Amino acid sequence: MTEQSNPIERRLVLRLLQYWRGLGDVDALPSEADIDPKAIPDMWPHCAVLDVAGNETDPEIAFVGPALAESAGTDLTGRKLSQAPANTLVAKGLSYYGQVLVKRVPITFGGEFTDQRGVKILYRSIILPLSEDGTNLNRLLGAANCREVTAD
Amino acid sequence: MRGKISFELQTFVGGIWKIDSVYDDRQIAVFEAQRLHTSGRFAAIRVIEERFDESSGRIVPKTVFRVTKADEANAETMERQKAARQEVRQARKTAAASRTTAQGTVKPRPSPVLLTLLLGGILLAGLTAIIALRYVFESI
Repeated sequence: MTEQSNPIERRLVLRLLQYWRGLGDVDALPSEADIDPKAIPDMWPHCAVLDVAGNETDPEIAFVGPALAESAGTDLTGRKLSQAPANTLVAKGLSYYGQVLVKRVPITFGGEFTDQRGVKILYRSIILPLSEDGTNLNRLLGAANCREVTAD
Repeated sequence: MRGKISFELQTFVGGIWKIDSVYDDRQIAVFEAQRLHTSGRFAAIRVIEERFDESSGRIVPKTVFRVTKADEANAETMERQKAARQEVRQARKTAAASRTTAQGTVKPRPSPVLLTLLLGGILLAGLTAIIALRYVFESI
């Protein structure tokens, strides 16, 4: 991996976007099978995979990385996204999946929320489209990370 | 998206602008646009800010970043032209300086007064010689 000195370039969302751009063919969307978790060991724990085929209104969580699962406080694998506890990184960071289904392009979004402990959380996330056949979206790759905002 | 501003990164492909990705942060959008531009895959790239105007209920688009391969080529040409102009200017200065140096080594011309006196002296000597010869021939 090349040295990344720019603070923006070091961001998880941009690094994952760059990885996603390098997958599959130039003119086709990459598939879930193209993703090699071993190639992105520092990013994969922050990732989640949503199954949207037939679940467009409420995707199923096919995979959730340990860092994201920890923020949710429970294993969400196999559950619907709507079942993710509110005010968690999973729920907030993947909430705009519908926009990705409509636009069929990567979307990044950030913001802040107060978690279940009452701590203010600043987060940034990205959702990337995946396709088994290169055209029809069947999965989404999401990732998010966060930091606590401490009062001065 | 909940935010009222979004930034669409668009690439010019096959004669049309296509949405590549969407951001809620201008800095990230422009950074990614520049990164895509350096890949050289696209003829042009732009970032469109889309602001939701609550008063009109419409989305107001504005281009906040745009770069094309042609822009880059034009910039390179302008740089080359600028360098060429500077070279010409420098060459002219050098030539002018060498001319000045060369002029400094040439012997000074005699003054016009001296030349006039010299010419007058020659004329006077000639006249004197003619008159003298005339007397000599008359006396023979």
